[in-house]
Amino acid sequence: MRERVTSIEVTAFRGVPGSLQLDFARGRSTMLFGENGTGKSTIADALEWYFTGRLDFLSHEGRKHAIRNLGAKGSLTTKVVIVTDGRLGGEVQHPDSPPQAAIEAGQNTPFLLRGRTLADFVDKRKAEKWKYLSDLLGLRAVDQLRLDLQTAMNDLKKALMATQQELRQRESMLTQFEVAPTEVDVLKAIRTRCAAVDFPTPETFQAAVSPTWAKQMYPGSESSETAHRVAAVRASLPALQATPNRAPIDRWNAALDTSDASSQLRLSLYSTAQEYVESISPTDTCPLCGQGIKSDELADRIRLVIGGLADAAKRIQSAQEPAAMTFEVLKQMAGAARAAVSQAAGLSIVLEAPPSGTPIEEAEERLRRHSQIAWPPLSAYIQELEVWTAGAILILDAAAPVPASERDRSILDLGLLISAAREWTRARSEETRAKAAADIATAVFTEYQEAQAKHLERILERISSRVGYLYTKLHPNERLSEAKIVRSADKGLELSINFHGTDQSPPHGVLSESHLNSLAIALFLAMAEAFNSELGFIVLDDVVNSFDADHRGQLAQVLVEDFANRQLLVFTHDALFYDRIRRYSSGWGFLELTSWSYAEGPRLALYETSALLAKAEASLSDDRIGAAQKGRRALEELLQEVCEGLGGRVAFRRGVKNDRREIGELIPAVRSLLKSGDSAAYKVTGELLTGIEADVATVFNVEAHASATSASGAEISTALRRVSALEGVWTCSSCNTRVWHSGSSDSWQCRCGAHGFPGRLDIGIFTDTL
Amino acid sequence: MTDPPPSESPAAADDLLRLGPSEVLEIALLRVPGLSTSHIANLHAAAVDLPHRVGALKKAMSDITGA
Repeated sequence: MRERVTSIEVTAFRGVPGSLQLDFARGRSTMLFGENGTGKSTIADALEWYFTGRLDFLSHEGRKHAIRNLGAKGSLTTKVVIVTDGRLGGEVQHPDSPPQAAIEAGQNTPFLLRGRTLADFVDKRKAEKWKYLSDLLGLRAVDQLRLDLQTAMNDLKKALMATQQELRQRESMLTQFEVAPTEVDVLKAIRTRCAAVDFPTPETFQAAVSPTWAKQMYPGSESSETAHRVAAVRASLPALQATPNRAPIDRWNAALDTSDASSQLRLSLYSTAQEYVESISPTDTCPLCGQGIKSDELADRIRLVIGGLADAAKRIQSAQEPAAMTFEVLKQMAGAARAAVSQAAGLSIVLEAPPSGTPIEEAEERLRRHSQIAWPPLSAYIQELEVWTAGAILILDAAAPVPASERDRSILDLGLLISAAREWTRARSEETRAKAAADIATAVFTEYQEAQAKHLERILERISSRVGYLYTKLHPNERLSEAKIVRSADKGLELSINFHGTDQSPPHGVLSESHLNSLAIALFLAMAEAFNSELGFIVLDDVVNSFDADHRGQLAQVLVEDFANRQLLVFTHDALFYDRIRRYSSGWGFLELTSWSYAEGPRLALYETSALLAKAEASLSDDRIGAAQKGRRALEELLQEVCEGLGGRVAFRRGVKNDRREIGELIPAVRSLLKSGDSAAYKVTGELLTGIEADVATVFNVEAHASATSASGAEISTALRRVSALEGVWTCSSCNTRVWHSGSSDSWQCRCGAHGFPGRLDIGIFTDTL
Repeated sequence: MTDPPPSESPAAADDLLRLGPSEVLEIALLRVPGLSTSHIANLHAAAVDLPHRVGALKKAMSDITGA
């Protein structure tokens, strides 16, 4: 459910020194009109503070004290109270944080657009636009899983390379027996050798490499076991025929020579900074330069820069991975050499220490630091390893026991072949499994990446479609169309518009400031509509400043017609815009701030008859006294409004302002107005006013006589209907405005001119009602 | 008296636009051939196993192939 704001109360906050309450009855769209400096933005600020926990305008250093009104009495607590039609309402007091549920609903949610920040998104750089959308949609978490899937895939590919390297090594051992690495050839070779020494021949390859069969067939002697172990060490030596070549290193160096290199250097720097900033405790100053900035904001800025360098990073990464694989192979060879030394020592055979792997470590470090890698030290290392391996083979061969006879030599040869075949089988099996895992990882990563791209594409299409519609509606009959958001490289977004048949991106070259602002409004509204999953209201604070009269009208029409399913809270000082919304809308609420003073803050020019009557009706069933109190207040409001609107004469009383007049004084004034200005209406309403006077003395007279406790719900309801009927007398049933909407004391009239005063009151509905 | 606010248009609520990592993964896994329901469940469990996600994903992927 998307929640609407039904009322807001601000105390000692921003432009309000005391307390100000605005009622958006039952969450309807409301327009708040007021000249500059009358306090409209304070209401927008209050909503921003409550639903985000901060005021963006005051987030700069040294402005936070401005949350509290400077003229507020010391006894007043700075606070904002929000009432919604759901669970998000509550209270926030300075300096505490708003309720968590409100923050979660409002953060990263586009619900507030201000005139002063209207063009912000349009003017953002591509990477900043990406970041905004990314934050809005939580795309960072989606992308982090993609990166983790990529890491898992790369790790599994490395593991696959290791098994492939071992497999090649095992295959090379078989070729030493002049046997091709296929099950058929290996089985054939084993059977030939078995036959040569009168051993039973295995039926299948599986039987030949089975440890059980080999043990039965080949009990072995101590010397042959030693010979096997020596042969095993020999087999584990680095497989030099699979030595990596320099191509991946050359490709890496070439990538660094491109224009990506400087970006890459910056990326490296920012990546290091990111690691550091994320590793330290939260702080209010930059750990590098001491400038005042919160660490999370600093981290955001760093991420923004890194996002902008993403394309370069991708190209570099595609060159980096093969180089990293090369080092994996070399490290595996070095590890094999060290393991061989250790295994030989177990047989009391001394092998020289293999060459130091320092060149590999240094090259890996250079890769990590995104530096050029020299091939000669690696080449020299590989040559040293070749020399070392050749020497190790000589030593191992010399240390292997010599068979006593030719037959023993053949048996030993058979045993070594079976052992090599078994190792080849194991390596092949491991390679198969590793390949399957790497294939799965690649498939998952590829599909995820595609799903992520389609997800983003769908989002952009959806927003673009709505932006295009809204923009065209704001600018009909202009040769501008297809306003949309387009991808720009990997992590960038840009706005585009079709101008006389050609796509322009960014559109700044072909759009005026007001057109850019229209685009910003269209974009904001589309995003607010698409992404506000919990907030059912949208706040527009002074957004039409750069619009001409026609476009103010277009915007008013768009807001009323296309956002009927949202609660719009529109704040403006523009009378024309205000008038257009009033003209197009039905069911909206209208509030007006007339002035602002240091001592009292905003002053609301508002008579609340309708709203109070609605509240009275609503509380009738469970709070009759409350309903009667509200009914009395509604009547008082109406009578005051009529007297103010038509200049009703009320008795002078020293020290008491007109808006303190009580019902007993106001009813005679209204009677007098009717009598002098509309005798027909006076005749018809005489009975109504008499009834109302009786209600004031009985049903509505809660304080004096507590009679409402005995008044039935039906009696109170009738009294409320009488007040409502009296309101109808002064209201045009066609345009829903008061009869003194325009004109002068000689001739007032409603907005549409159908009714007026004197002489033309709307008593048709009234007579029907009673 | 004021009219009640109009009800929400069903078309306006498009929660599909706010997919998290799990939902995107779900879409992706359904397109990978050969994955059973339990494989998908295991990969999902690995994807939310922060901060050991990479290791958990590797294990889940290796387990699928019996490695």
